[in-house]
Parts: sequence; structure tokens; C-alpha cells
Amino acid sequence: MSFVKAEDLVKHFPIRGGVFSRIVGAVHAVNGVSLQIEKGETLGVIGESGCGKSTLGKTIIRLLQPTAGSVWFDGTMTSALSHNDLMPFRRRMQFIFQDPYSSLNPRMTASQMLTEVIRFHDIVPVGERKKYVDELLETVQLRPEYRNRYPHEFSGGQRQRLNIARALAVKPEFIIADEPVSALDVSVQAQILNLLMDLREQFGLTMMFISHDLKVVEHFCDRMIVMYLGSVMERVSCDNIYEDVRHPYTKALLRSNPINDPDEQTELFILEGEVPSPRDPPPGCPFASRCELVEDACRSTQPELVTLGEGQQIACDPVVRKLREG
Amino acid sequence: MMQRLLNSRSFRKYWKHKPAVVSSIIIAGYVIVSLAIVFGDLVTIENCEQRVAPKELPGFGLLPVVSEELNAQEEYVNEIDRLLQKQRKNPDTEEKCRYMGLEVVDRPPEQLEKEIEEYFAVADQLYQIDDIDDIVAEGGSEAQDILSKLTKAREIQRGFYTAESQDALARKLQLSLGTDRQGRSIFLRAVYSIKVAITVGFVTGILAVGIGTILGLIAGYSGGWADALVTWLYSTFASIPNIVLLMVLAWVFQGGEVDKWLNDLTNNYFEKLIGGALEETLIPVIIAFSATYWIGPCRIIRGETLKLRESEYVQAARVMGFSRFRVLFRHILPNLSHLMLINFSLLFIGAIKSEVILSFLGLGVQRGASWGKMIDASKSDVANGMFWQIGAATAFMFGLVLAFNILSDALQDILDPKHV
Repeated sequence: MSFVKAEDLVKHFPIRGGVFSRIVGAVHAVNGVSLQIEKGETLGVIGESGCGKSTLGKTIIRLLQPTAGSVWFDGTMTSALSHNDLMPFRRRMQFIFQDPYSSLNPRMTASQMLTEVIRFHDIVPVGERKKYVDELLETVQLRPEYRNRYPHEFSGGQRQRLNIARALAVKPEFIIADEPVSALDVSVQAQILNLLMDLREQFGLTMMFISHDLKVVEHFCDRMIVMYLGSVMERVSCDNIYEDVRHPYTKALLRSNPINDPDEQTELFILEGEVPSPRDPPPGCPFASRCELVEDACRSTQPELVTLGEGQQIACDPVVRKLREG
Repeated sequence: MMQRLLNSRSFRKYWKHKPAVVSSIIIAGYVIVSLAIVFGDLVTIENCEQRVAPKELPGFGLLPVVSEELNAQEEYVNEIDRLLQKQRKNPDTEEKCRYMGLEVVDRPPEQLEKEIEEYFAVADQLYQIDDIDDIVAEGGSEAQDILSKLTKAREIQRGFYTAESQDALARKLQLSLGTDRQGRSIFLRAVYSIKVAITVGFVTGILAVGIGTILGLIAGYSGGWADALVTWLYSTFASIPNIVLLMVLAWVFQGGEVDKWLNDLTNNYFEKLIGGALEETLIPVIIAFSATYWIGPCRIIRGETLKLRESEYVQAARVMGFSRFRVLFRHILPNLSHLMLINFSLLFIGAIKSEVILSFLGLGVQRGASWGKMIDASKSDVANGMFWQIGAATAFMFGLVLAFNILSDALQDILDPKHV
């Protein structure tokens, strides 16, 4: 049994309109996503802006209530638990937010923030709290002298370290990191990624890593899922993605990445067209409007995820057919 | 705790902002005076209703012209004469010769009578001179003669009261801004009005910001039907003009029916608490203001709560499993505190200004003095050149309102975390 599991997870945001604020439609942010994460494994979730990857993370951690489907954590279905019943799981799973500037309360110092969490979940005995805060700061490579600083007195990278410290304070087993480095400078990105990798090893963390950067996911994760318009397009192992990926969308993502080798000249590839509106998703394959392999059938029927090889699944009928035909 | 406050970033910013420091000292002065009025009887209602000097005595260091001074003196001496005759008729009554708050010197009636005769001997000569003011204005020997006689008359008149009967400085202060048509001290009335203004300002400010914050927080954070209810409530209240509401309240409190009901309900504790009939206190004014003024802060707090609810640090707090209460009061409210303070200072000024307008219309303060009543009373005086009543009221109000405006402007910068 997987450590973390989501089954046919759906999240719709209602759109209200008119004089009486009636529900006139819905934004289909997540459309039937299933995933499994084994203990100790890191799953990457990749996709462009607005594809529902953050919503997926927030629904799994129960910041958002799923519209349909279920979330299982260590054998318990957490998506149906009440606020109080969820409490023991709150300390076992944590979330690292994207923007280090807005994810820290501007009126709380580093130690106030950490102490509040430690006290609330009663992580360590009263006498050891101060020591534990210092330990946490050291764990994320911040100097304990910074304990009385307010968030605005830290740099972006330091703030993100503080965010990580807050997530670690409850000694979690599972962490969802929602684009933890995309708001940072490239040099700082590497530091934070290395820190996360060290911590993952040190605490044996299971992680879900949300990103739009294929390189980062390849470097950081064991497996990844590719999302487009709220649906999973492809699941693939991160060991050798350049060879393994099959889905036209994933290939397009790979090709849009610049290659840091001047001898290896490739044609610049840009995806044509717009992402369809999540308010009114197309009936067939969501990627049909921009796909180079598009067929008539793609526009009317949604492709199922088909298992190709070891751990690889792909939702693209033309590719699957071609592979089977050999 | 104190040390931490003094070292905090906000306090250092405040201390650097000198106009804000000066303004807060001025405001502190006003507050101390009003506390002294409430708890120390510095100025009582009786004080400011009492006749202390001849009517329409000029203030602001202006000297009355000779004819006016003579009139005032005559009025004063005549009154003493009248009291003397009264005492003669009933020699048994121990009634002291008291007039205009001053005690006439204890001396035998015969001597007093002689002095009065002496006064009129001098003063009558002056009364007979027509256009005495013009002669004095032209100067010359005749003017010198008039002035020396006037000085003599003034000395006799001053002799009627002792210095001990009242502190000379207090007397001087009392008359420093002149008197109104009833001979009441404008200075005392203006000082008493500080208490009215500060009470109305503070109580309205705290009530309005308190109600607005609580409702705004609930509406913004819970959303749904609570939000709809609060939005409906403030839209409804926003359509009530507070002058009309005040007229309705005045009508409701009239005749003391409500007082009676409340006293029965609270075992007469209510009357002790407010010290008088409801319609005579400031309570109608405060209710009317609070009922309409909470809308502004409520709108702002609701909007800001809506924004903060979606902010990542609030989401982070929710991921931790913190209760709704803890998220609201530890993570949202502290980040709204600057809005509450700024709103309070704006409402404080608004309430004082509205109180003046309402009193000017005769709807506000019913008993005692207020700046609005003083301005109302001086409507016709200004046309006749008697500016001191309206001058005193506006000067006192100007000082307080300006100081609070500067302070609230400065607070806006000081409490904004992004402002260096």
C-alpha cells in the first residue's frame, strides 16, 4: 500500500454570477488525478502555470476540500476527516509555499513563529523549546542569533530556509513543496535544492515536489507526473527522461528547455496556440488544440492512461497505437 | 516589555517623526484636561453656566473702550447697591453680598454705602460726557482728565471685592477670552467643551472601530451567509443619515420613559452610572455616531481580511492545524492593527467635528457647553465685531483636530511595515 495516495481527485471552483450569486459554472482545476507516492520516494509534479498542480498539492494536504475523489495517507482516508480528526495527520504532513515573501507572518519573529508551532503540537517539552528552535535554525543553515529577527530582515533565500524550518518543526514524514525555488535567484535556488535534498536524506522524508522547471524535477525527483489542464498526461521515471518520455506535450516541454552546449544546435521549439480555458475544458484530449500528432478522435474522446513499461504511463492514443504497431 | 517597546522599529520611527511627537504631546494635554474635568472637577457645568463678569467683555487681550468699561462698572456697582438695600431691609439675613462669583468685601454697610456714593460722584461726571470714546481717541488734556477719572472709578470698583475671594490668576484666565451675552466666561466654556469633545471622540472611535473590526473579521474570514449578512447590514446602516437617527433617539429618550425602564431593570444603578437623565447626557450623540460610523472600518477590515485569508502565511497557519480563532487573532488581526489605529484616529476627528455640527443645529449636547453650542451662540455676534466666542471655540477645536490629523498621517507611515 502506498504511503500517500490520491484516487480520481477532482477539484472544481464554482463561479458565481448574476443578481443572486448563483453558481453559473466552475473552474476545472484538477480533473480526476490519481497518484501514489511510496515511502521515502519523491514525486515531481510538472506543468505550466494554471495547470492545477498547486491546487492538487493543496487538495492533498486538505487546505482545499476535494470536490470528488479521495486522498489516503498511511492507510487512512484523510479527505473525509473532520478538522479535529485530521489533527494527528497535520503534524505528519507539511507544506512549503512558493513565495518566501508572503508565506511568513510579517509581525512574528523567527522564534515566535517556530515556537508557536512547537507549542501548539507539543513537539518537545517546555524546557527544551528554546534549544529546539536553535537546532531547527541550524538544520536549515540559519544562524541561531537570527532568532529574534522579523521576516523583512531576511533575504529571499533565508526566508525560504525559515519556511522549511517551520515545515520541519513538527517532525513531518511527508512534505509537499510547491515551487519552493521558483521565486529565488538561480544561485540561491541551487542552495535551497541542495538543502532540501540533504534534509530529505537526513529525515527520510517522502516528498511531492511541484515545479514548472523540468531540469529541477529531473535533478530532484525519483518519478514525475506531467499535468496539463488539470489532467495527468504522462507518468515517467526521472532516471532517463530524455529517452523515456513519449507524450507530445512532455516532449514539447523538453524541447523548449535551452541546452547548455553550443555545439548541440537544435531548432527553437515553441508550442503554438493557447491553453484552453479551465472553465470550459474541451471534451477530448485537453492538449488536442496544440498537439502536432492530433487526430480527429483526439478532439472527441479523452485518452485513458495506458501503462507502457516499468512505471511509465501515458495518455495519448496516437502514440500508444504507434508503439503497439511497432 | 517597556524596554522592548522603546527599542521597537515603530517606536524609533515615531520618535524620528517630530511633528507626530509634538501632536501627541498636544493631544495628551487635551486628554489630561478632560480627565481633570471628569474626575477632578476642574471645571463643572455650574462653572461654565455661571455669570462671572459683565456681558460681552472682549477677550484675547483687547481692552474695552471707555464707554463699555463704564457700562460694565456701573452694572456691577448697581448690583452691589441693590444687594446692600436688600440687606438693609432684612438685617437678620446672613446673606453675603455675592455677585458674579465674587464676594464683596466684608465691611460695615455704612462704609460700603459711602464708597458707592464716592464711586458715583466720580463716574457721574464721566457719564455726562457725550461721545466720550471719540474724545479719548483724539487725545489731549481732556482725554487725560477722563482717563485719570476712569482710573479712580476703576480703583473704587475693584475695592468692592477682595483678592482672596478668588485667585487673581484664575480670575484673569477666566476673563482672558472675554464673556458671552450672559456674562459667562468663554474660557471656562471652551475648556469644559474639551471634555465633551474627547469623550465623544474616544467613545465613538473605540465603539465604531470595535464593532467594525469584529464584524469585518467575521464577514471577511467566514464568507458565505455571514458575509452576506454583514454586507447587508452595513449597506442598510449606511443609508441612515446620523442626524435623522439622532433626532429619532432624542425623541425616544424624551420624557424619561427609557430612563425609568432601564432604572427598573438595573435596580437604579443605571442612573448612578450615567449621572442624570439620558437625554441630557452625551449618550444619544454617541449611540447615533457609533451606529453609523462603524461602517467605514468594517468595510476596510472586511476587504483586508479577504485579502489576508488567501495569503500564504495564513494558509501556512491552517496547514499547521491552527484553529480558526488562533488564525484570526494571531495571524490576521495583528496585520490589521495599523488599519484599526488609523481608522480610530480618523473617526476621532470625524466625531468631534460632527458633534460640533450637531450642537450647532441644537441636536447635540443639551446641558453644559460645547464648541458647537458656542459657535451657534455667536452667530449674530460676529456681525457686531464680537469674534472672541467663535474665535475661542474654533481655536480650541483647531488645535485638537490638527494635532490628531498630523498624528494619524504619521501613524499611517509608522505602522506600515513596508515604509522605512
